[in-house]
Amino acid sequence: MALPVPDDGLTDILRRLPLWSLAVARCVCNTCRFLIDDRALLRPRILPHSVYGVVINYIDHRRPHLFSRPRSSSSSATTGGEIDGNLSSVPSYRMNWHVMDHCDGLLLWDIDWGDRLCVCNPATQRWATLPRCSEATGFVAGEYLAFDSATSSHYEVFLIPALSEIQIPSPLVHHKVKSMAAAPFCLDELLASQDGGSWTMEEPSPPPPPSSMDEQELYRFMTRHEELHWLMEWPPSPYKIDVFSSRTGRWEERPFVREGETVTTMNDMKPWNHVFTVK
Amino acid sequence: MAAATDDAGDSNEMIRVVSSDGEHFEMPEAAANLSLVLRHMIEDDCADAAGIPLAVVAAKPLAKIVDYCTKHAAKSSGLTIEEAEELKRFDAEFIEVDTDMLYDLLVAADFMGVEGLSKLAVQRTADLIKGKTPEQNRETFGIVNDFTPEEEEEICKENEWAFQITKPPSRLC
Repeated sequence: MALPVPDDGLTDILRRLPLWSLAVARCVCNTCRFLIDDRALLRPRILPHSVYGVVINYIDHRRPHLFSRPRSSSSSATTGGEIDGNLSSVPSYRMNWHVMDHCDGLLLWDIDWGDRLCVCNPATQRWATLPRCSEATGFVAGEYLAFDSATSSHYEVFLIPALSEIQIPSPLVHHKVKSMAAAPFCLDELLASQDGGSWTMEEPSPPPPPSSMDEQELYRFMTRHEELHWLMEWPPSPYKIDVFSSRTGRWEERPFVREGETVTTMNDMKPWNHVFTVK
Repeated sequence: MAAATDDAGDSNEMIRVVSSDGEHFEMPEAAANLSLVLRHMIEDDCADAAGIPLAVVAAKPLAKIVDYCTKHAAKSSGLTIEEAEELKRFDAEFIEVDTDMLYDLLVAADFMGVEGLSKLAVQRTADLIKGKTPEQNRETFGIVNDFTPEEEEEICKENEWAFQITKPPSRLC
């Protein structure tokens, strides 16, 4: 018998414990243990006890493969079925698939180098292709999946934007700076560039001057404008992130406000910069 | 709501309550209003001279609860910093009770719907659990170890990480 208080009261008490003490409280008696497990007080706050397997993405093969650990009889009893890590049930489009992220048993796949995103549950072999994010015009630095089966059966996908684009003042708007959607990391290209091969990083270059503006003047203006751009704080606040929610089935832009001091400037992020082209 | 409380305070109307073991207590209406149950009874005109019977609250915890509500009702609004700190000190001393009284307060505050007291008792219990081994917790709260030796070994293994490091890393707490 645990404390002589109702389960809800005891849950309130347990919720106030730091993770550490909660784990110890689980070892006190059966009531505490059942309550902590039944109300999932501990589970959402710690990492899984073991790694089920590893998914490997390939450069020269269309589909990743799951490498799982040999299962003992007890673990297959708890999972309740075969996990199809290679997602053989998904129609085999002639496309390149990559696992971008995973969360609590769900996988986030990228189809054809960022063309589409797909979320699937290898345990139930159910999958959903997300609509394209019309708002995501800039380069995406990362795609992430958020899912917590303890709180909801819905998931969210976050597109983390890369460095902000240089905003061109409206009189010069026809010299629009557009960021290119970069292809996923490719080892071949990296090796080729290190060998002095053909693949090189494009450097930003000043736009050709319009006839109405003095060439020198425009060049100075753009240089100054770019300098200011690189002095902007990073990450910006609010940091706007495109989020897909399976609850609404739509993408939305969600602003996140930084807590605390400015971390750095755009300039410090330059080594991690992506290709900007000037049309 | 604040205005109603003030009126009650001004009129000095006393509310009578009766514990499960038949003892009578009195407190100002403003104090009784801190209990959701008593407030509803007062609103429904159930507060008469015979007193509101509280079937599951014994005299000992009820006396404490009357103390708590009276103190908090007197200082319900427009607190200065000093008064807020004094109230905090009162709470800290108030909840320095043995585990039997703590259980009684947990149950009674929950039953009577005294939110502030519920929080205080819950936090106090959590503070008592923190930083103790399972055995020390069983001793403090008089809990019987009802695991079989096999279960105990298994469960301690599952939560081994919580025992392995003597000092918890701050990011985990």
